[in-house]
Amino acid sequence: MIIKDPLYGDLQFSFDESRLIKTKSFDRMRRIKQLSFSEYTYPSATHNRYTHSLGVCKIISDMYDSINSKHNDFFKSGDKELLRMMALSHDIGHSPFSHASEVLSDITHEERMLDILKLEKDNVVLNNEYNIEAWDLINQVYNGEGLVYMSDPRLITLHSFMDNFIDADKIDYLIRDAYYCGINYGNFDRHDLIKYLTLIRDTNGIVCIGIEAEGLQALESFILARYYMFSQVYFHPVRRLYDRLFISSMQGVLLNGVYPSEIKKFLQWDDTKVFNKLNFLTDSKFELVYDSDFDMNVKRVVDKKLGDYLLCDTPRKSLFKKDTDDSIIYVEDKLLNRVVPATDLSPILKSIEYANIHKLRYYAPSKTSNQLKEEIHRLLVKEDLL
Amino acid sequence: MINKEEHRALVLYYLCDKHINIGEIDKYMYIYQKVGFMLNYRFKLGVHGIKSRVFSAYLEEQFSYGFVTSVDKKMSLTTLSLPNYEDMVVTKSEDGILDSVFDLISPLETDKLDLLVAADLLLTDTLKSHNIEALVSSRSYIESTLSNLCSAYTKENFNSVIAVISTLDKIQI
Repeated sequence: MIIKDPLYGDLQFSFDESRLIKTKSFDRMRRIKQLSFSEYTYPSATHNRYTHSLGVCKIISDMYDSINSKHNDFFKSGDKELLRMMALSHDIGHSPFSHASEVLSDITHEERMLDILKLEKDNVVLNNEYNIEAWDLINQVYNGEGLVYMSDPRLITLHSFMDNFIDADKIDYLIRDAYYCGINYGNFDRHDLIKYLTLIRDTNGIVCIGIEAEGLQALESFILARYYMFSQVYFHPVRRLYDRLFISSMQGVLLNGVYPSEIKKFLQWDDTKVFNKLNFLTDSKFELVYDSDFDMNVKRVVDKKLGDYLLCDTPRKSLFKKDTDDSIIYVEDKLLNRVVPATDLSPILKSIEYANIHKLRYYAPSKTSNQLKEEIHRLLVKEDLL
Repeated sequence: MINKEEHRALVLYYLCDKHINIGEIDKYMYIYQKVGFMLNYRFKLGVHGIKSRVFSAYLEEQFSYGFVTSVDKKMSLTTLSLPNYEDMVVTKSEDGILDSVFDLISPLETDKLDLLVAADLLLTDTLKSHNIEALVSSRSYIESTLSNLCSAYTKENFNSVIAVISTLDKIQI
């Protein structure tokens, strides 16, 4: 099966992959927008999880090919097929409006993925050496758990193709989201980034994905793209406001305030069904009345005096996790025959190692927004916080 | 105290008060969840050991709000969180278990802690998928898996961590 993609051209899928793609559960992702309410700021951002999943499949293939060309003794027959099925399946359990919905669920989208793969098991086909069902293997490797997964360290490396500092999911969504939003600073050199990927053995002997020294600039551009996309798109004030309104509205619509745990009932929910249930977007008019870097003192003061009249939002994201191994991406420097953390070689990455996007925002109903804006200003001046 | 949010804060602040290494905090969380604290974290095994996406987000939030900090990789409370921690209502049982688990685990070196957590994950999964007889008969399989995953694996270390796991199994809130 060939599907055309505006970013990557023709995408080819095997017969087994097309069986999964043609299931109702996979097809449902056409009706789950990738960027939730971002289309109210970027009108072209109407792409969906369906095309994203196909894109991730292509990226994971490219990553595999690049790394395999350098370490062909590491992989076994069937690994590429497993990676591709994992990529196709990874978002199949997403709720409508994607991450905005996570608080409306007792079950994570990864857990739903397992339920859905089991439901569609007749169309989830993957030959494997472990003598377990295909859905079970895909779930174990994607979710990083299970007996088979733990028994073979190679599977831990395969898991990192979808859950790592550089992984196929991030590469596709950054490029795709930037393209559909129509902004350039989300772009980075995908080709070089993937071309220079390699495998590095860490101190525990576990093989992880790293990058060759020649790919350092591509890595820098990737991380900066992530930073820009978070600050400009994912944390845009309009999108965040709609996410908050959506959550509080849905809590009134859903039984017990959460999506159904029974999988067939859950699969009936998509963006279309949500819009049929809610009309909050036309009814509610809110405005941004305060937007600055997060300050706990400001939050305490404003919440205490004006908390009942305002909607508060505190989006936050660290590019690197603090001082943990997760924050390390290793660089293989063949000239000097060494493997070092990327932050040791790149002053740009070093300078943003502890960079944090953390905002404090308040929204007020339009009728009272001017008054509340002034009140906040007065309060902060009085408390010497401005 | 039976609230998930309260348990999450209590265990995290307790560990910060003890200045544990930030690289080990996920493993401690795993162990405290094992002995019955209602943390509701789902742990997965990645290339850098176990982690929980929900816990990582929670920890990041605590850093962002200035409630916890890390200096030279040692976790600490701050002037914002210390009063909250001191005011926390803790039952005698919770208090006792916090200390007894910490006293049991803290002498372990990092690589042995990795082995402990990996062994418990493996044993728990085996029991979940099969039964106790299968667990007993799978010993060599379990040992060979651990030897692949953990640099600290030796028969002696494996027996030590099994003893620790047995002790932890008897400690429950």
